[in-house]
Amino acid sequence: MIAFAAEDSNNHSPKPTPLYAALAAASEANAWCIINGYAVVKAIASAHEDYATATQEAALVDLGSMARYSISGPDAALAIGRLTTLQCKRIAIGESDAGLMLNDVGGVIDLCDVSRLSDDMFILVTPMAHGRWISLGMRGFDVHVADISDDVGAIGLIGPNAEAAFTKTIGRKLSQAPGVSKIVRGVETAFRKIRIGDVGGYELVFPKDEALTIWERFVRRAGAVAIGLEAMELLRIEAGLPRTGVDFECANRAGHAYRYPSALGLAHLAPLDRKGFNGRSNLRDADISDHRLVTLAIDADGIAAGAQVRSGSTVLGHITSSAWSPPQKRVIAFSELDGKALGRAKELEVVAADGASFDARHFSTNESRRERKFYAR
Amino acid sequence: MTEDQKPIEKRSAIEAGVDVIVLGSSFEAMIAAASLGKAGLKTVLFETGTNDTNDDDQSSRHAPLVTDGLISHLDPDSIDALDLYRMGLSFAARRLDTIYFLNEGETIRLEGDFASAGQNFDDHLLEPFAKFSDRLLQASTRLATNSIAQVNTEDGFLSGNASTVLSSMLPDDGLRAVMLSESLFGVDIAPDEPFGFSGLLHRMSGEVVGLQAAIGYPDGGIESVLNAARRAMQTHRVDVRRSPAVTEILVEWDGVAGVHLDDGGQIRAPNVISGLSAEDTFLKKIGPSHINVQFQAGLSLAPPRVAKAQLQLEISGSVSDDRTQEFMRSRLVVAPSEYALKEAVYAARRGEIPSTLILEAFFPDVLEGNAENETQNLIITAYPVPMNPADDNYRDKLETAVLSIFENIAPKTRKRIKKKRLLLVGEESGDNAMMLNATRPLVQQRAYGQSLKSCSGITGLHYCGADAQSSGHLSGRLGRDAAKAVIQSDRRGDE
Repeated sequence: MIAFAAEDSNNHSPKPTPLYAALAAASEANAWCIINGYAVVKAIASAHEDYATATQEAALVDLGSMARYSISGPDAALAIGRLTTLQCKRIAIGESDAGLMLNDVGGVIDLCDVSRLSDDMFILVTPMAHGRWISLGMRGFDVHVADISDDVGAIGLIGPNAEAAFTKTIGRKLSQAPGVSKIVRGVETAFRKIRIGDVGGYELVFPKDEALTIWERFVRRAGAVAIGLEAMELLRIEAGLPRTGVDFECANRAGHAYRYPSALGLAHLAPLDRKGFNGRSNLRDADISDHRLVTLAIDADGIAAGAQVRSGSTVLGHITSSAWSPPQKRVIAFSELDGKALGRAKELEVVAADGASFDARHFSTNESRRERKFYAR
Repeated sequence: MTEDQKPIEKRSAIEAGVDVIVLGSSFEAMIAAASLGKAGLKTVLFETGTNDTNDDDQSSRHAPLVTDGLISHLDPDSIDALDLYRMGLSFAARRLDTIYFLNEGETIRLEGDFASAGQNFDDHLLEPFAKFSDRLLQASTRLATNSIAQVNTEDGFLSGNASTVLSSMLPDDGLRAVMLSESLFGVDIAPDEPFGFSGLLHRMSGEVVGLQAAIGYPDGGIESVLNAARRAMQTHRVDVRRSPAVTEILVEWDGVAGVHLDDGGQIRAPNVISGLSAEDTFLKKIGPSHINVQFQAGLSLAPPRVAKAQLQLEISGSVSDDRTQEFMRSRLVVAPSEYALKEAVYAARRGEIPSTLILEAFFPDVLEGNAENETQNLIITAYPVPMNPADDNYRDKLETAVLSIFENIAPKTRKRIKKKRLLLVGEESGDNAMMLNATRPLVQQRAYGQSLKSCSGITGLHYCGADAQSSGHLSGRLGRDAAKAVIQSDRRGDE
């Protein structure tokens, strides 16, 4: 799962990611934001051109703003199994899996991906930084945790041509080069498969000093094209992947109501028949929240977050994030709605800030289909 | 078959049929075990600690190190439910008067019944003190029976610093020093720091022999209270075991499943009550894999920075005159001034021995009616002393400091000492250690206790160890609450 954390609007002195120079040179739009303290490019050409690249060709996205932790030691699998909803013994070397980090009461702290590099070494990737929480969760285990976010660069290579681009770059087919690392222009890179909705690809992680070398290799040899955050937003809403700090608040933040996985449509990522993860015992007994994140397709050209979602005169909730979808030719959005009222609602409409109302309907996503399958099981 | 040919009796590796396993030999653990036994549940208690004697040799239990003390918070419901008076609990003194020794030789006497104390005060103090004691007792009653929020909302007593709250209610320096000492004795807090006054609320919220805010001394000391609980366990057929030791509390999925023993065996049971320390229970015997992250983080709450110390003396000389006997039948408290107490707390936090201390002293033999003996025991508890002393000769220096202060109220004590023993925090375990620990401010300690009692959501696990106590007093309430929770869940299971 690849989703960026919310923009940090209070930070006015961003750090450059290792790929900043390459993206600054490539970006025609020159629109930037700050995530986790790093400068992140919003669009290279425009959101829609970037989106077309990602869905039709091979796109390169800078993933350097995500938080990364290496967790190693004899108890690493056990400790990660407690800290996240993932069962590490089921993750083979070279593979990765997506899960959630929950607090003690089962509220979602963040999404996470765990990749296994060897028997006792893992990389944990999260949209937001959670250094303190992770070190708390590792207490009492024989593990070593290191925040490697500042030490590495990361590229996402996604799109239908991603595999071909990868093959061109490393000079041979992936199937002929098994393992968790690949040599790209003499630089050892850790790689894993990733997927955002229907768009698959790879993530490569490498020492930060080699970042521009790797990037150039992909651009020159494979013809991959950079894309920005806004295209990723579109992809992740299509995929039904909520964004931390935007569609829901991190459960560890004081003063915010937490959300259970089921409220985010992610119950399949925290199955109660998986034992040992933090918050499981409380989740089992919890009164499931009435709130529910729902993806909506809205017959409008633009809708801002915060717009009301209604059914007749009943206000069901509000839009949390939105983007204009080229394939659907309408706005797609995440909305947080009252689950009980939603069950009774026949037709939905979204009311913009200027009072104009637009028809809306729920649409299925990869995540919502996975959740339905999980409940059917 | 000869003796040699008899087959070796093998213990069953897995023992079943046990309803509850209780860990620890603290008073709370014993009260829990006895209550469960009385309810008809098959209960096994695993003893821990240094008291290595058997049950038939009760007298020798007086010999090992036992922190002796006065009692102010004995849970009346536990006494009634287990009929502890029939089990040997009796009081040598039920409502001890207290004589406070202030700076410059002044003394104040408060009767054991706090509600009617102060009748001997001058007229200008009588009314404010009566008003103060009324408000204090009312708020303390609410504290004993309600949530903390209610007390705080109504009086603002919980969050206030002791110095300010007392200044607003008591017009006399001496009385303020008296109540300041009662507020802060055993609490890691200085007079001008928030939440200090809550210490006094807690002190007054206790009950002994049916009287709120009273102080009593059990006949035979603290050990006799523990013995009464032991007899209650025997009466209610609690299976008490000292070995093999419990190495692990078994948790399967989210529920407790029994314990693992150091001989490799297991006892399966749906309920475990732990009277051990929080660290031992949750980190060592359960392990981080089975507890929640925030819960575990809470376990490492910083410990208090100061502690109590107890000097146990045997001094020569019988007491024949009535006046001295009356003096020795009282609880004696050296109450420093606000400024001196503040300096003392800061010094103790730095690891230094303060030049001024609060001392609480009493003569157990005299209270037990043995004033005619040729030697008398004297117990002096001093506060605040460093939790982590910086000095190599700490013991000698602390002993000298305590005796120097005590000789201001009982001159030439040093010359009459025949035996002495200084007990410091960390040198004992279980209830004894608890009684020398300072506590955190009440609100913080209660929140910590509540968190511990949640047991990280592990079904069937209940905690009644010293870490969940609101103060270093014997109470029995936590043990009774834990037993009650088990009995209720057992009944729900039957239904």
